[in-house]
Amino acid sequence: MHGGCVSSSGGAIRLTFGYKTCRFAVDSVLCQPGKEMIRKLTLFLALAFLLMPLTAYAQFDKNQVIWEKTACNFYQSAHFDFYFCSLDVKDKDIQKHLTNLVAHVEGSYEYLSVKLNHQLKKRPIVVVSRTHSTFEALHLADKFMPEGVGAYAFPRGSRLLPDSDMILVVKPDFLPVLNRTIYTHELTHIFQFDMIGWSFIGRAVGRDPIEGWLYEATADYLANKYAPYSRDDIRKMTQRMAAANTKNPQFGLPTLQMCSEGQANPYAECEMVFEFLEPKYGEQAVMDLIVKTFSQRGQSFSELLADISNGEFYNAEAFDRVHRNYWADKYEKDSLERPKPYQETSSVKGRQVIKQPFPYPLTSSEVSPDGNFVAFLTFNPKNGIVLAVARMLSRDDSPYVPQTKRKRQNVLGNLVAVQDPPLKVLTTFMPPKHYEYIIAQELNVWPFNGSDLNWWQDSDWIAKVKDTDGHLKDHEQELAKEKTTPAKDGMDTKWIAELEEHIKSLEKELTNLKRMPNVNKIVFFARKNRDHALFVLDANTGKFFEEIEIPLDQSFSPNFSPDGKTVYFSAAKNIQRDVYSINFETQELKNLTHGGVFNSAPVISPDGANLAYVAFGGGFQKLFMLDMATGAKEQLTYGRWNDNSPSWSSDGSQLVYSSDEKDQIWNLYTLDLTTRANKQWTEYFGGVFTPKFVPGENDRIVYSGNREDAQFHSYIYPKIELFDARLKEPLRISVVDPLAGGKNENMELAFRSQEVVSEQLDQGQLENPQKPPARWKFYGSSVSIGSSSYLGMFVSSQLAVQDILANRTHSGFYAQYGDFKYIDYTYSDRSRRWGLAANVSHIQYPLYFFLRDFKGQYPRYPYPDGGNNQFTLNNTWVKETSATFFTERPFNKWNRVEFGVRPRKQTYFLPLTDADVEFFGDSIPEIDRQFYDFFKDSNNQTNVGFTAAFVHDTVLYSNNTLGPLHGDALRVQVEYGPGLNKNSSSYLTAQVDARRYIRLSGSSLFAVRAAGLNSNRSNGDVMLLGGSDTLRNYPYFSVAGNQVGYGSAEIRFPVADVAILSAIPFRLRGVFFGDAAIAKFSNDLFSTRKEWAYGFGLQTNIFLPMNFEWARTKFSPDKWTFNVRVGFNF
Amino acid sequence: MFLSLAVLFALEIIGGPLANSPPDVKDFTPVLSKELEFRIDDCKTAFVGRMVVYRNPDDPYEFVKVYYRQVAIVSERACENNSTEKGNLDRISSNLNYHQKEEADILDRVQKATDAFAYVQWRITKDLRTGQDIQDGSFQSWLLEQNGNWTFSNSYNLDTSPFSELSKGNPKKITMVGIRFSLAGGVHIVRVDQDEIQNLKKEATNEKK
Repeated sequence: MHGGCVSSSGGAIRLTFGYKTCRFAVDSVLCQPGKEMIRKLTLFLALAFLLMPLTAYAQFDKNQVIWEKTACNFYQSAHFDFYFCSLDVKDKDIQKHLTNLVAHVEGSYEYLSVKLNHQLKKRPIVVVSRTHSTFEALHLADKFMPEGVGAYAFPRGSRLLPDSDMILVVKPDFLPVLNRTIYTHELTHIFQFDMIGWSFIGRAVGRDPIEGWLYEATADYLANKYAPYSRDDIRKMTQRMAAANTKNPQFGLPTLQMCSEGQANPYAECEMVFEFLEPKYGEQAVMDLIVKTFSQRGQSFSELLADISNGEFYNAEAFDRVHRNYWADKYEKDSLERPKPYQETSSVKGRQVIKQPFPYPLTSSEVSPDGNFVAFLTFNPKNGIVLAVARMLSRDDSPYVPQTKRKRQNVLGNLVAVQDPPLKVLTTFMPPKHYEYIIAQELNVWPFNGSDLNWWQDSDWIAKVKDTDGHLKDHEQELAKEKTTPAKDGMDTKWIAELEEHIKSLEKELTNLKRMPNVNKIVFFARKNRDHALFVLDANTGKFFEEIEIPLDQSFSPNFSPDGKTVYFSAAKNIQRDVYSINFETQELKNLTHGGVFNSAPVISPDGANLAYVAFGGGFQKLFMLDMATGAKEQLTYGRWNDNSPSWSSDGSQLVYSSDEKDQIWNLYTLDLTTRANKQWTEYFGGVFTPKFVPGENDRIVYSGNREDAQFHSYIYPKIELFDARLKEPLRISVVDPLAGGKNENMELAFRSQEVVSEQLDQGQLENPQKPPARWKFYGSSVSIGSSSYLGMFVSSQLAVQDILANRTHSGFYAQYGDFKYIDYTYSDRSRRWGLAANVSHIQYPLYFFLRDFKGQYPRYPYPDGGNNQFTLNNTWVKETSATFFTERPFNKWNRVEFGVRPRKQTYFLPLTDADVEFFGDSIPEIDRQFYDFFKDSNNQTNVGFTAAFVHDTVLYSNNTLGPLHGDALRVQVEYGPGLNKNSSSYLTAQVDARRYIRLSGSSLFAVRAAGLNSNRSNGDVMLLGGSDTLRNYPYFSVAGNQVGYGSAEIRFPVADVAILSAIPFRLRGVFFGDAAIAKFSNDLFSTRKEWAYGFGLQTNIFLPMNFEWARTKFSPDKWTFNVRVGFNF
Repeated sequence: MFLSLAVLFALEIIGGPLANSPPDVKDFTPVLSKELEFRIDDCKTAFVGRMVVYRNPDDPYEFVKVYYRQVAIVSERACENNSTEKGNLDRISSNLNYHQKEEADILDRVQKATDAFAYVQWRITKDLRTGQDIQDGSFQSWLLEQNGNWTFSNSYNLDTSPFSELSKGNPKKITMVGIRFSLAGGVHIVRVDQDEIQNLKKEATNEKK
């Protein structure tokens, strides 16, 4: 649930109050708290006040969308309770995958329980979601789950109690070999939690801590012992590159300290610690070390290392030395001896395509069919993953152009030699415009297979462009020649004029050709709504030619048909991954492969007759070919290694692909389809990814590769760059002969004794499907009791009861401090796309609960007047009893509607009576009398309000801006209350809050906000402005009204980024702001107020967001005022 | 052609006591031993036998996995939710340790009399390229059927699955009561009786009183 009335955070439901909008009414005086009482209450309420600015976020918020019904089936294996969600367990395809899943999890269980000598204390719960969108729709973790997450595990329940449920959440449509490793990895976490088990209390108080990296490193070690990941990406590649980079430890093999401090990849890199220990001390000693790490109290990991080494590793540095040398021996020399992808060797002539510095990885390279440009996917701090192009290298080397001969540009009055930028970004959209993110394997999705983009150009158009360009160049040369030849007669001048005219005409024609639509298209997948949608970008116009949401799961690797009218791709249906095609004209979707294991990376031959693709045979992936006419499948490659990313030569005679046959490193291979000769061309250390022939050339390849000798810029991304390779002589040639051992070869990657017996599904359970138990769990119980000699007893308690999938929650809260009371019960159901919530609450509080700022200031309205300021507002109490029924429906992550019904009775306890007002007369300030009248007139109202709201939120946040960076947010809300009786007059309230953030750079932005309220409700929906982040430097909430318009604009920019003590980041941000407001009450008690403020400020985070602001205001127009406030930017 | 294939196929699966006998593992070296058990629920574990992997001392690449059945016992461990255990964590922990010892003692006793009911024999080899152990040839599996005959196969794998039946206490619910082994049509089920589970529940309730 979000904003409005009921919102949730981390699964717990809480009542939030809208955007600083309070509801007022009055009756009689229950209590008139004095100043002493207020001071004492301040402590209690301080936290609530400090958190008040946070609630401004809650009114927007993005949506977790349940795209499809997520009914679950329950299944029990020998040791696990499975919740098969969004899966039809009667479907045979699904059953096949679930059998593999259950068998693997049970096998892993047996392996881990033996190796770790530990039996789990409970049956772990395994929640299985069909695909990423259903996985992401679960409420068990963060609402936005990166696609790279294949599974996660966590203990459910209080860590201080021994009865935590252990939950493993998985999605089975990942790469099969990767899935197996991930499942065992996450199951290891379950064992870790369980082994720590009883000593959670000790750990909770800081005794005997287990360093965070050890969880991931040991899980990765054990997972790869039982279910090794066979491919050369993610793990082995990362380890190899780190091990080879010994001269630059910040980006190479981490030290123990770097692992401890979170400065290294805990999975692949820190796991190397255990891989190093195993050959030195034996597997059993390493297992014992892991067991002691998680089950033995009081020993740090460095002490355990000293023990295992009999004192050799007496400290971390001693360990690091030996550890580093071990890996350097294994990899560094190898890395130095191998050729580099930018060198010429006997087998290839290699060149780097983009030589100018560019710090981000370049993947899925694709040369345009006309050979002029290369497109690729890369990262851009502004837009995330982007599609970019660069000029492609010509076949022969161009001569170096010295600076003196380069194009010059006027820069600040000086002519400076300039180079073209290294690349041009074609997708400069800020998400979620068009899509949420582009799909780029290696960057935001773990590797599947094949390339993530493809380029098609109309062959007639290419010919026309080439022809026109040729004519243009000829004419330009002719013109240059004519101009350098001495003039003979008037004919030359006329000829030159004609040539110039012709050149202009050709230039115009060329320009028009290059703007012609539908002849030059690039296709890629991007996340939009439920899953990956197909986007076809017209490279000539920059507009999208097609945008199709594919009704399948996790589509990858698009490939154009030769006529550009169809795209081939791989996608999953009921977990089964096949190759599909979609025709743009008919929108017909066809399954082309119908079965097999993880069919992916399709590429159609130039004549459209055959389709090459990748599929698994056992534990390894091989190349296959589909005859498009007959549907016959043929396996093209054999052997106990992986082949990947095939691509056709222009003449259709050979395929280029990557294979890890030699040394388990992806390198460049070709397969001659006539002779079936298989040739290896490279043996680079950093690997070769998605190789493709340069169109029209059967001996030149463009690909992306990892450079181990590069200056690494990013810990998150590998340094992948683009290269081309002219093929000379192959390093090795072999002929594929299926009959000579290939077809009957054992293709299992690794044998484990757990797999001797095949675990099958229990048909009895499948035939009698059981509804999964709700397993309600008691959460977050806390009781606080205290007393005050002045106020009496302070009690607060909260509890929540939630079902296993965190769909349904009952939560209750009770707090009392003297006369302050708050009782709340909420039920929410998030199991469907329409979220539901019901809430009943009773609250009795002083108005200053909302109105007092963190410095202890009260509202002063309209002017401060010493001790008498705002007597009425500051001494009025409210009693409110309400029930709320709330529902919301998200359209997507960014937009939703909300509806609510809220019967509510409000009673106000005023510090004055009619008799007081009459008796004291003018000695009571006018403002207090006016507020008294306002509240008295509207007191004791009972309303039933019907609310409807539209909420939009696309705001991206950044640490660099200490808040929003880009995007917009909007909330439009209308509430109508019909008149029921004399104590329930009809009313209409309309509210709007709109914000827009325009990114200027990675750490600066322009922010603008407009908000308004118009209410004719007699007991008042009131908007309060002033202080905090509205009308800055005004007294806190000193401007009020029920007809209010407010606007604010500001520029936020960086002032300083430093690291205190070289470790603690400190960011100081500056702001120039201008605020304006117009406010009045509909009943004309107060005159219309027009207020303004402008100034500048500084912001930083010192545990809390601190703001230091200097402003000129209408409230105090003659001087600059200074204010310190705590709170986030709007 | 079809007939000859069918005959060959039939020869692969031979039933009867005189057929291909299970391997003798008397002189083999146990390399892995584990209880054959399943969790009835969070608190109760059913122990129905033992699984042992043996290595041939004369051929380190040859292994046999043997499943033994025993008198089934259901053990209820300390369980926070519905057991009789109450009190602080240390007490629960010590109760767990006590229970585990008691459980181990009982298992030691019952496992003095066990019968082998399934064998799988295989060989491994080392893949020099990946360094991984891989299977060399096919499995040879034997399963003792409930009628006392051995089923043998070297083309089918020994399958296992949970064995469940309708709960006696609640016919709408399914309760897992055993493990079903099957090989080429032959079936062997190791199980506990639902009454034993129910009795355990009653004992726990009585103790609580």
